[in-house]
Amino acid sequence: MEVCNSMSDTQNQVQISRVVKRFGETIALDDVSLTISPGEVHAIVGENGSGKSTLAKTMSGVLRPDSGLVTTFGESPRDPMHARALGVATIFQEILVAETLSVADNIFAGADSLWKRARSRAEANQKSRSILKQFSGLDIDPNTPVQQLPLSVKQWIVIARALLSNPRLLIFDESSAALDLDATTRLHAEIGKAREVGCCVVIVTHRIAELVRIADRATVLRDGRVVDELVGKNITKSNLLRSMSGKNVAIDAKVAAESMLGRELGSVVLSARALRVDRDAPPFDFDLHAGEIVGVAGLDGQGQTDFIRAAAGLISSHSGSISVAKPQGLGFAPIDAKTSGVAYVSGDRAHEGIFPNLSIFENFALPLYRSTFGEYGWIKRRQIQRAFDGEVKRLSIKTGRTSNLITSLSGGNQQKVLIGRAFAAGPKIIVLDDPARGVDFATKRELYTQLKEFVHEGGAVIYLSSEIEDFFDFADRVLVFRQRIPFRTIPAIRFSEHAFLAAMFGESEEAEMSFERVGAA
Amino acid sequence: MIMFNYLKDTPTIQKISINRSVLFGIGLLIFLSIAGTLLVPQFGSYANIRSMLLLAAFLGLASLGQTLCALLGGLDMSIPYVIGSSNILLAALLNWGVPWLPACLIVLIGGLAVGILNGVLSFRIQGQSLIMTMGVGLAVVGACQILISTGSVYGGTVLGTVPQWLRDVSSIAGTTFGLPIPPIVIIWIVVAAIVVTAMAKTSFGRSFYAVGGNRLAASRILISEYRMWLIAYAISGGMSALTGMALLGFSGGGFVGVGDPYLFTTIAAVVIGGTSLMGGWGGYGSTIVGTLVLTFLTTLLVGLGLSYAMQQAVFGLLIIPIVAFYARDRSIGDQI
Repeated sequence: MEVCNSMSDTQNQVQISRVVKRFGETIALDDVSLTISPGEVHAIVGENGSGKSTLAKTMSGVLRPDSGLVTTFGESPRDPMHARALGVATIFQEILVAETLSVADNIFAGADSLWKRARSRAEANQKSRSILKQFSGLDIDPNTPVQQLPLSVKQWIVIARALLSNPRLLIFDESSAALDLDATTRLHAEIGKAREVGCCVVIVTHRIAELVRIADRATVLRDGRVVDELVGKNITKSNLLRSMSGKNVAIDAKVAAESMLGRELGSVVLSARALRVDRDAPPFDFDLHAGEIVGVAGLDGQGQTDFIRAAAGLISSHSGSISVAKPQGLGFAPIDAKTSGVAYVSGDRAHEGIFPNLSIFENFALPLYRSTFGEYGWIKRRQIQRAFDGEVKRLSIKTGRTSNLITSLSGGNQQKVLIGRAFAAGPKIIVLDDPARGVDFATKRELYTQLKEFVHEGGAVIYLSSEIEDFFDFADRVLVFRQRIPFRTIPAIRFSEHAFLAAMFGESEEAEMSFERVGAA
Repeated sequence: MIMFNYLKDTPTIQKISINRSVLFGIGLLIFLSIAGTLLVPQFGSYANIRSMLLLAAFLGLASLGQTLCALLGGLDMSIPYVIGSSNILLAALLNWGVPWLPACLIVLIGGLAVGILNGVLSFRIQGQSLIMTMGVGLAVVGACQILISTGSVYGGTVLGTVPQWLRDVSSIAGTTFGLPIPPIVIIWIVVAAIVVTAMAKTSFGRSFYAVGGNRLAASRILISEYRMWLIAYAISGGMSALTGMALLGFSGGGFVGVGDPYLFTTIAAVVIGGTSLMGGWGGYGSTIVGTLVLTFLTTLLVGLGLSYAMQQAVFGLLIIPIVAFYARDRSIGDQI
């Protein structure tokens, strides 16, 4: 379709035409087409899971599209090595350095051939020193092992490595995350230089403010599809937020609020004080009440996962305390996964949920064996059978023969077994880590109904979700994490997709308000 | 309607895994028996069956720990060394005049201690159980030889008399309560019955499968992976010590190399039975079948008059297709 471009254009451009990429059932990229011209800074934006990183990976040869074509300067990258030969340099979200090697070795990693150095050691050292001074403003001995340097310098090393390869296509995949504002400005200057020499620059970022400043063109992805392309002056915060959230902008905050009527909050059942999710994170407090469903959201890696794992007693927080109400109001005790009555359900079934070698029944019953019969006890299946039958009926799990392997079930039904397992332990608090991942809509609805029932009976729920729409008509309030603290707490009455997005992307509440006005106008 | 099928399920925890590999193993046993009966005179005689059961009992006891370790995804390479060490240590202790009960207890506790050390190291230094346990085993067997070299040692052999009761336990002519079956065979049958039942019917037994199947999921439901590793390796060390002591009664003299064949055969028995070395699948019932297959095969090869070198070659060549079959079976099973 787009093949009508002249030969010389194809030689100088990066073209993505009708690319489709699936991961199992999930469609990560759905018929995506775009063109990146030389001397253009092209931003790719979207929510978590909208497919932006997948798109970047098809350009760098890490992933090959299921159908469609990626053409970088006339050729399709077969693999990362081939992409590099074509002039593609990628700076990934993960900071890929060899910790034990020196700064110079890291900057010039891959530059030498097997038998021959591309440059003398002295030259490499001298060049490393000058380029790091230029980028980071620090004078760093190029012989220092990288592990002794702070994260931001490591980030610069990776950026220097990419820029020194004289790339024709430079891809930044969330790679300014470790840089502060000042450093980001210097990075933009470098990007500007690359643009001037005719390099194609692709930026995948969560930082909207940043791309508003430097992008010439922005492609907005939602659910793997290109939903908007903004050029030049049209790249504004409000336009971007509107495009990313799409048609659901006016999702009914009213309906959501009404559903909360008649639900009364009970006493505090879980309380966190001066909690830090890691060493450098600021401390914060948090209270969970009986009868409450608290949503947890945030862009990837903002500390929300550590928070809920700490709340489930699975990991210890870096500092501060989490305590759980004792029965009959006898004060609080430090959380302990064994005794606190906190159940944890993960959406990462394969990794931390199911036992693929065991039957459907045993996947349900394993934790109950020990709580019912003791560590070395004799199992009387009949005693557990009733609880199992009850949960199967309540959650309408379609099981087939329950002696079949758990893997014979669909993902949704596997998840129901795991949720039933959590319910059967008789918890007071249920912590769920994105449990609806890869689960169909009907199952999701059933799960919400069950959880609402659970809180009506005096339970409390902490629910992390990567999908914003999960919270509507379900959560009482949502903690939006950013930079490893709850950046903003949004009450049910103020739920709207752009309110979540604005908080995730760190926009001020005023920006959010002004956007609301723009949206209303 | 399919939904309510669970009501009809029999109340067993897990069907004692009569899976494809066990069926194949039993088929192999039948084939070996028929081939043996046709090709080797006396193969089906009571004397021969008794001697095969005796050899199978030694291998079966030694493979118990290997099975548990494999279920968790580990390996115990110290088994042959612990067998050899306990064999010469018991011989030396008895020669030094230590009464039989304390002597046996010392050896057994030593075996357990070595097992616990293996467990600690294999768990702490993840993924290195192969070389860790081998290192521990070598150190132990070396230390034992140094310790008892004050006695009479000729190339790892401890000379001296083995008490009659020990000979009775594990010699081919031994009897149990008047029955013409060596007591060690009865011991193996009892141990096997207890282990197979415990693995299927207790919280403890099921925890092995949980840790082997998905260690992170197991830790999420608060099963201590570390404890399971310690117990598996401790049992392995204890059973190896027991086997080493029983072998002293069988051979009538201490010899440090008596455990050497068990390096290969314990792993082979586990794998032929159908227990995955990656953890989670299989069990001791499967290993029993594997043990019998290996013993029948060895007896058949000896009966055919093959030289030792020839036996080894045939043995090796036969193992490859058998294991290849299981490996394929497993990967197909995983995809369902």
